[in-house]
Amino acid sequence: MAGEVGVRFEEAFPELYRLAYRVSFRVLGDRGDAEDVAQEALARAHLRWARLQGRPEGWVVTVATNLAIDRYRRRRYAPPVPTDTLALVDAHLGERIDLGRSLRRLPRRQREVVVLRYLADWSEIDVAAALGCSPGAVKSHASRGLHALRRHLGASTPRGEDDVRASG
Amino acid sequence: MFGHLDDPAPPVPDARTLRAVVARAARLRRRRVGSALAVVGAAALALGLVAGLSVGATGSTSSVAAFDARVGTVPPGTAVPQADVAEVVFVDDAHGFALALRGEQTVLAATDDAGRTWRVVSGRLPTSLPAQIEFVGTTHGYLWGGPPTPAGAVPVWRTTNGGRTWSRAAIGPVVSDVSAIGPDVWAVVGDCALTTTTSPPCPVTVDVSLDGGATWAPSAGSPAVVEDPELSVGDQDLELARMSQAHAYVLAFGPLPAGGRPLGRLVYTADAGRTWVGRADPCPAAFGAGQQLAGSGTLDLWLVCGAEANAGSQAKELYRSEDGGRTWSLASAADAPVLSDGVSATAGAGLPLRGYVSPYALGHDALAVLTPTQAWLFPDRSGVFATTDGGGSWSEVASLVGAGFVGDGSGNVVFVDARHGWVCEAGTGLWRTTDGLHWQRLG
Repeated sequence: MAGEVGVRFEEAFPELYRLAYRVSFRVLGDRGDAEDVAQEALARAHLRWARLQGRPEGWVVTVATNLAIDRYRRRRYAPPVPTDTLALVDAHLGERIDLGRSLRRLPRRQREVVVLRYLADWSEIDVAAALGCSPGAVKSHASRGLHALRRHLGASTPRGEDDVRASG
Repeated sequence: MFGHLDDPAPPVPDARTLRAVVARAARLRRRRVGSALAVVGAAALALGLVAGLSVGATGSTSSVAAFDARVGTVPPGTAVPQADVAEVVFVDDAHGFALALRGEQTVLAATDDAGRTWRVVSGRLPTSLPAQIEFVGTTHGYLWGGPPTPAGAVPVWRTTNGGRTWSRAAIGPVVSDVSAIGPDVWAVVGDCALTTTTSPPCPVTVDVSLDGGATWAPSAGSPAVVEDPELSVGDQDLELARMSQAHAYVLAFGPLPAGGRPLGRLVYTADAGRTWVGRADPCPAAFGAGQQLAGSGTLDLWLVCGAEANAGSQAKELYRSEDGGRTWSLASAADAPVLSDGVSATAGAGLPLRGYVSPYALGHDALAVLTPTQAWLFPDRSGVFATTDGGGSWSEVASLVGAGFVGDGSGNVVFVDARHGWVCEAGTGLWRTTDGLHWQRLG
């Protein structure tokens, strides 16, 4: 695991960056923005690396998602500054907007669980380890969070994929 | 569940990406404010660059690769490629020091020919980038701000032999900023180690040394600012701006608390730290993501406020004070409500929208104030801009562009007086002016 005690930031960097980029892109759908968010999340991780020794993946995913959601939030005021043309190339724009908005509405703990479980595709056991709670609590938060998410997302959420992969 | 939202061809993180992240981390840390006309700004954090390591026309790709690939500690005297220089300070128009990247290692380099060539002074430093350096002359210097120790400390080290060896100063645990005027050295020190998880705001002291960093004691008065433990990573949410041996400002700010105002606070001393008084922080909450302070004297202050950044752009405001921070007026702005929570700047234009300043850029080192009317600004991922009317309007420096300056990466602008200055663009190289007008590429 990247965050084993004594692992250098440089060694853990590729895996953490891929994680941060993936969750950011799922929310934002824009390569430039997702790279920017991934870099920001990893920069913050670099600064607090001494604190993150052990298991930084959950922290990085959570921070990247929050940054992505925050970035999404800023888009709602007006069209983005014209550096990238999200709307022209993204077939899933509406779904991403719904996703960002829906994640924002979730209570903090539910959001953390949903993000790690479904946005980062972690197993319940890994989510529990990252958040310091029991697998049962993860299951409960995930169920409630997913229910709320589905309610917010409406028809845009694919059904039948609730308990998908445990990529641990 | 969301696999269909994935990027079908995600970017592969490489060494350049890592450098960009390290550079960004460094920029988060750096809140450096120097003193008046002496070394206005100081360092650059060149590295990596969001926009890429374009090794320039000097064709130094092979030398960079050779330097990075050397095995073991690089010996003193080894030539350092310009593109590896990451942070520079100059003590006069010829002599300077740099933190340079050698692969993942940080080395100290020096120049005695105004930056044309750099050679390793020490290949084994007690800390690494995103560290900061400051030198008083060619022998005495200070190094701080690198990654925290396992105990959560961010120490400061001093050298008395031009950087060949370093000794740790007995202050801490978290040294956020250092400023030296001759042997008179001040350090802003947080009392909480970074290993503290969640805790209330942390007390801050200003520690003073009158013997070049050999011995230290807290200043007689307390600056009455706190360090935000959550930001503390950066633990660089504090800036020390010394305008003279007696006059100094401490700027403290943190991330926006939910629904609240930023934590920005500015305090001032005119009696070498015996007493501190509060000064108004003019930056509105929406522009409070980051701030940097500079000045050309004890009364002339320039305060740049930045909103959250997005895709290469950032809303900004520049406030000026001619009375030491008692009153402020908006000098210019880069307005983009989409980037500042829907809030528009009070008035004005004049600043470039593109590019990042604090907290994403090089803190104080992106802004060099020479006089009450003349200053230089190097926002990240942008270009170098100059003003000659006190900050009301800014123009991109054309002579730099003509000299091969790219301006889409990270860097900073440094002056030792009104004529002699350097622009360092990470991964590309250095440019120098000797008249404050025209720029030439070095190396």
